Amino acid sequence: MNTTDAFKWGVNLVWNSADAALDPFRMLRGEVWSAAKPNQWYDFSQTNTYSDLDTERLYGTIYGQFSFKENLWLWGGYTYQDYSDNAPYLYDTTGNADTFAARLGYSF
Amino acid sequence: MNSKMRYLLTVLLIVLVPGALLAQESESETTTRTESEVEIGVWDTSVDGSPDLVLEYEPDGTGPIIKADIISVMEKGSVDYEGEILTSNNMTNDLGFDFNRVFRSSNLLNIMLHRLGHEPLDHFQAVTNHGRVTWETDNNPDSEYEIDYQLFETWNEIQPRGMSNLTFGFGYRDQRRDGLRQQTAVSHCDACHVESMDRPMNEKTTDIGADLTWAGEWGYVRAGYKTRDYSDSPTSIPYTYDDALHPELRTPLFDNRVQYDLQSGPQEIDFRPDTTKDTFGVDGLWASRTGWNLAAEGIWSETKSDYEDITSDYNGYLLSLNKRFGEERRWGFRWRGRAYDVSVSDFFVDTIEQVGIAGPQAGKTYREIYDFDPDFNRQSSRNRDVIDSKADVSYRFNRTLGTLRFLWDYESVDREHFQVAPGTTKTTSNELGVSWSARPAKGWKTNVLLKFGDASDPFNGVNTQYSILESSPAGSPFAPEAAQYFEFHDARVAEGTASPESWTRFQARGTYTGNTASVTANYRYWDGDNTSGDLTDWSRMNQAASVTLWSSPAPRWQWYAGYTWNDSTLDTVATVPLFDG
Repeated sequence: MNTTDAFKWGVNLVWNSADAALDPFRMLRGEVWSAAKPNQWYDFSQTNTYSDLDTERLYGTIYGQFSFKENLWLWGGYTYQDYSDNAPYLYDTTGNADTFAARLGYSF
Repeated sequence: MNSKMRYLLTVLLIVLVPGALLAQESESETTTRTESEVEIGVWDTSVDGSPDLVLEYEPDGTGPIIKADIISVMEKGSVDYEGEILTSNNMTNDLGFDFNRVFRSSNLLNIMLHRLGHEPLDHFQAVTNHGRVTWETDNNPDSEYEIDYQLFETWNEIQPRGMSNLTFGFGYRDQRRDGLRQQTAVSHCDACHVESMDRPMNEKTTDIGADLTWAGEWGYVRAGYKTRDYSDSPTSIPYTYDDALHPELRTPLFDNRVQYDLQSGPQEIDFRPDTTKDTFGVDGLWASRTGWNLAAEGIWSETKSDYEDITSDYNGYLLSLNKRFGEERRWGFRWRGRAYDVSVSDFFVDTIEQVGIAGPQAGKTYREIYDFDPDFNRQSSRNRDVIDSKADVSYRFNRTLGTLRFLWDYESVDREHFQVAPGTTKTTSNELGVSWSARPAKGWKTNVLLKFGDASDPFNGVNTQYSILESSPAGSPFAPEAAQYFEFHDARVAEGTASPESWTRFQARGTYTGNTASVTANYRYWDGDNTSGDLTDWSRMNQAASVTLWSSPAPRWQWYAGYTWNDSTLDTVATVPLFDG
């Protein structure tokens, strides 16, 4: 956006969400055999929950650029990133990051 | 500032100084121009929580920024550089230049950080009511696992004046992964013990290649050669396996059932031998005046381990034809055929045979007790001859009604050492289909595809599932009546597979593009099954749909939204071995 001839700014926002899950396994077993083998649990009722995926990611940037002259400018920007791990698999990978940046530019 | 940064700043100065001088010259010469932008600044990134995925490929901390976009076109040549440098392990550089249009060079240097995460291994803990345990050890719990990925690539061409049909090209590519990653190893027969440890990486893959091209209005012919070297340092890391103990009695009764344990001392694990690959290729394209277009390619390559006498050879040939026919060239024909063979050398595996050190089998190897030979000659299942063909015939109605296309895909895979059915090593498949693409109205594009496929003797593992052996009750695994693992393996009767015998594929896609907005929807369906083997009962159905919206309501504003859905159903046979005692 050009607010004035000397100043322009912009914003960029991205959000995405992903989730995935397995339905319960249909592992059939013989009831007669299971009754005779009490040490064999043969229980897979929770196995389908071990690979659940539930994540959200947010990315936002706002920046501005001021031109002192036609070929000399100052650019500044801030970026926020957020990753949410709502069903941790091996460990919780949730985290967020703040980035500040400034650049002096020259064209020739 | 490290040497890498000093080098890159030197390159930038070499590019910028003449660029700046030329910028002054360009004001008076009409045939030259220079357009350059340079930005210098600082950045600062702070993290809260885990950086492993939110900054998977980005650095944190503080550092300088150097950005440049330089184009300079002169009478004697040109220079084009675009790059951004944040840290010594996060930068992109793209440099192209030419001299008198006779020598052309394109170069890139990209480096990026990749965080690998640290698995805590805290989900292996389990115990049975008879005292068997599974457990884990993280030998380096504080290590941060990450690598720097670096790619340097240069490709250069010489096209002599007066022989512009001839081009000589040569190049060099250097790809590296340096850093630290997490290596895991498992000891057996002391219950299940998983350990992790640091694994340094200094992986390097370098390519050197050259080719010669002869080109004209009729097409081109090119011959080229490339040699690749792969190495990783260290080639392996040392690891000492646990003592092979009975999982409940904790006595050393199973030494003759494992190749390595504590008695064997440190072993090499994660062994990555230096490897060399040489490739020679010829390809060409011919566009005849009769309307036939022909493309052909031949590739011959050999990959060799520098550690053992193991080689893998690949010989491949490709031929493609296409032509448009008839009134207003409405009919089209395309065919692509490919034939290749893969051959990997045999390798004899001499199994380490330890003797028992305690219990009823002390002093004897497993072979001596059970008359079982664990040595084998490994013959690769990759060895094969493959022929595949893709052909289609199309008719173009008009822009609105679009193009109707009939397709036939054929593949034959004949393996040298692997049977897919008793006495059969060959799989043959055919896929027939029809597709229609059109622009039915202004702004609309549609495409529909329907295919049916069939395979004879699809990929199956013969007798790889469902052992029918039921061992007689035995007081211990050492009792003569106790069945052994190799006997259970030999009694398997079912074929295992994840490849279809027949399948259906359907895809539909539509896009509408307006003045300031567009919408695209896509649906894919695949359904296949396989009941060709003994007790084989496999089927899979996949569906995926997506819709994306894009809009630019004002010249400097745009927004985008998308949704993707996937659904997959798998029916298969799972064989679970049962132990009691």
